[in-house]
Amino acid sequence: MGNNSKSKNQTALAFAAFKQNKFGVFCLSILCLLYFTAVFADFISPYTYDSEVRSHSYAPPSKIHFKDAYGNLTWPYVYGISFTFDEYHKRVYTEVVNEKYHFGFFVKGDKYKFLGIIPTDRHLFGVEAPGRVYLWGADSRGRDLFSRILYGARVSLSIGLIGVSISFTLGLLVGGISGYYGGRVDSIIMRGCEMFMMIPGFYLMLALRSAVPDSFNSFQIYLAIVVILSFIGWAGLARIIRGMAISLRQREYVLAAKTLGLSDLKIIIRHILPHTLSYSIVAIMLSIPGYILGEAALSLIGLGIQDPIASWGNLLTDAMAIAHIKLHPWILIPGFFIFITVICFNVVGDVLRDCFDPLLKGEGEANA
Amino acid sequence: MLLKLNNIYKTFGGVKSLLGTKESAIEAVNDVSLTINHKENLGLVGESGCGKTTLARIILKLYGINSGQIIFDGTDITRMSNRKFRPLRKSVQMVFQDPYSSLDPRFTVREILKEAISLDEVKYKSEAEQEQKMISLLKEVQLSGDILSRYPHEFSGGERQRIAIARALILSPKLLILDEAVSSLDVLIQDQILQLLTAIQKRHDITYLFISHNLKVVKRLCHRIAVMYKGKVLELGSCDDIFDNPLHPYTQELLTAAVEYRSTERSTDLKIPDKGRLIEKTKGHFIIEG
Repeated sequence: MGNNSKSKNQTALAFAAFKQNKFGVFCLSILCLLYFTAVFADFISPYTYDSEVRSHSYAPPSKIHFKDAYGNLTWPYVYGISFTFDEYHKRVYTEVVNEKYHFGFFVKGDKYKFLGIIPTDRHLFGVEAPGRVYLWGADSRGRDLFSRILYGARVSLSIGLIGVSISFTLGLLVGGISGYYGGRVDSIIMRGCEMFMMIPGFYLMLALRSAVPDSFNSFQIYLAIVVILSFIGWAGLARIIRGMAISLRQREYVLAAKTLGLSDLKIIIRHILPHTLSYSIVAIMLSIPGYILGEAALSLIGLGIQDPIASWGNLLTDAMAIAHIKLHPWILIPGFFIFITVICFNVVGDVLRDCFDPLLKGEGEANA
Repeated sequence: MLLKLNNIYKTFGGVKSLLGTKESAIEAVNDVSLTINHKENLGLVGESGCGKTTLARIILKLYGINSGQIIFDGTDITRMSNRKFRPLRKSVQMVFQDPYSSLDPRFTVREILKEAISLDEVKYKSEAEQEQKMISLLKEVQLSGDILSRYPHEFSGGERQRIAIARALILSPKLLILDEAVSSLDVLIQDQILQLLTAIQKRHDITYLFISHNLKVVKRLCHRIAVMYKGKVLELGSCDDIFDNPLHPYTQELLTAAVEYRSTERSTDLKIPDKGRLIEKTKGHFIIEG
C-alpha cells in the first residue's frame, strides 16, 4: 500500500478500482448526464413545463425534415400541424405543407429564469414561432413531452438525493448512538425502529400523505413527499449501522478516544460512522431508486406532485389507461427514464460494493 | 498517594432477561484493593482472563463497578458522572495492548495527535505551534517529525506503539496505564520501548501502572508487583520480595514459568479463599489468606 510517498486511504483506492469497471463508469456517466439535463432543464427544453397549445392535444412526435420539396438537403425544419376527427372522434394530425418552421439554436421562446435567477427567453434549440416541435409528442393538453420530461427529471432525481441525505443523516446518527451506547438506550431505539419497519412502506406512505393538508402549494407538497419518503427509509439503515457500531465501539481506537476524554458524539461521528462509510455509500446508491420509485408511485396515483408541475410519476398518469397507450404510445417515455435511472443507480451501487469488498477484507486482516 | 482502590468488585452478565431467567454472573474483579504511590510503578501480573485489563478499564472509568471506591489524586471518582470526570480524565491515560487497533486506520498521525491536542488545557495559538508540539512529542518517543502525514498501516508494531505513547503523553497524565503494551512486540523492540518508558519517567512527573503476563518485563520497570488470579490479588510486594521470596504457590509457578521457561504442571488446583484478605507478612509484602 505505502509504496509511494503519498498515502492513499481506502475510499480513494475503492474509487480507483471503480474507474476500472467500464460498465459502472458508463452507468455513472448516464446518471451524470441525466442530472446535468435536470439542472439545465429550462434552457435545454424548447418550452416551459406549462406551455400548452390545447389544439395540439396528443400531437404525435414531429417529423423533422432535412430535404425540401425538390429533394435537396436543407437546414432541418418541421411543418405546422392541423387535425381532423376520424369516425371514432379521435384526432388525426396532418402536416400543413405550406407552413414551414426552421430549427434554430438559442431561439426566443417562453420566458423563464435561468437557474432560477437570470430572466431570459432563450432556449437551446426550437423552431421559429408560431410553429411547435414535439420531439417525443405532446400530452393531453398539448404540452411538449420532451420538455416536461426534462422538468420532471428535476423533481424525480432531486427527490432521490434529498430524501436519501435526510434519511441517511437520521439513520447514521440514530444507528450510531444506539450501537455505541448499547444496553437500554439501544433497546428503546431499536424497538422504535422496528415499529416503523413493521408497517408496510407503501401504506405508511399513503397514510402519511393523507395527513398532509390539501392547501399546500406544489413546493410544499414536494417537501412533504421528500420528508415522507425519508421518514420511511431511515429505520432499516439505522438498524444496520447499529450492528456495525456495536462491533466498532469495542475497537481499541474507540476506547483510546474515550480515554482521551473525547465526547461521545464526537467519538460516534469521528471514529464510528466513518468506518461504516464503505457500506453507507453502497447503501445510498442502492436506496436512491426506492425514493425515485416511491415518488413515482405517489404521483402516479395522483397523491404526489400535482399537475401542471411535472414529475416522471405524474407524467405516467396518462398511461394508466390502456387505450391511451395504444393510441399514443409516446406517453410511456417517462417510464423508460425511470427504468434507466433505477438500473443505473443499481449498477453503480453494485460495482461500488465490489470495489469496496476486497479492501474490507484487507482491513480485517490488518486488525486481526 | 496517587491512586487508591478500595474493595473493587465487578461482575459481568447476570442481568435478568425479559423472561425472568437469570444467567450466572462472571466475577471479573473480586474485592481488589490496591494503592499506587507517586512515582512508584506498580506491575500487575497474571494470566490472561484474570481481570487485569478489566481493572485497568475500571480505573479509566470505561467500566462501571458493582461496589468499591476509587480515589484518584485525593478525589473520589467512583460515582463521578462522565461529564464531571472529563477534565480529570486526562490525568489518567492508557496505552493499549494492540498497536494495530489502537490507532484509527483512517487517521494520519497528525490527525491522531491533533485529536489529543484539541483536548489539552493548554490552548495553542497557531497551527504552527501545534505542529511544533507534535514534532517535539514524536522526538521524545524517538520518531522523526516528518511522519505526520502518514497512516498507521505504514508503520511497524514498535513504531505504532511509540505513536500511541506520544498520544497518551500529550495530555501530560499523572498515571499512565500500560496494558500489555509490549506483549505484542518482539523482544528487541520490547527492550527499546522499556528503555523509552524509563527515559520518559525521568523527564516527566509520571507514574506507570504496568499490566503484563510477563514477569521479566515487569521487573525492569516496576517497583512493586501485584499478582492477580481469577479476579483476586494473591500477593503484593516489592519487586525483590516477589522475585526472591515468593510466598504464594501461584506466584512461584509464574516465576518458574517466566524465569526458567519451563512448562509447569499445576500441582493442585488453586483454591482461592473467597473471603480471603491480604495479610502483611513482612514489611510491604502481602499475601492472601482466608
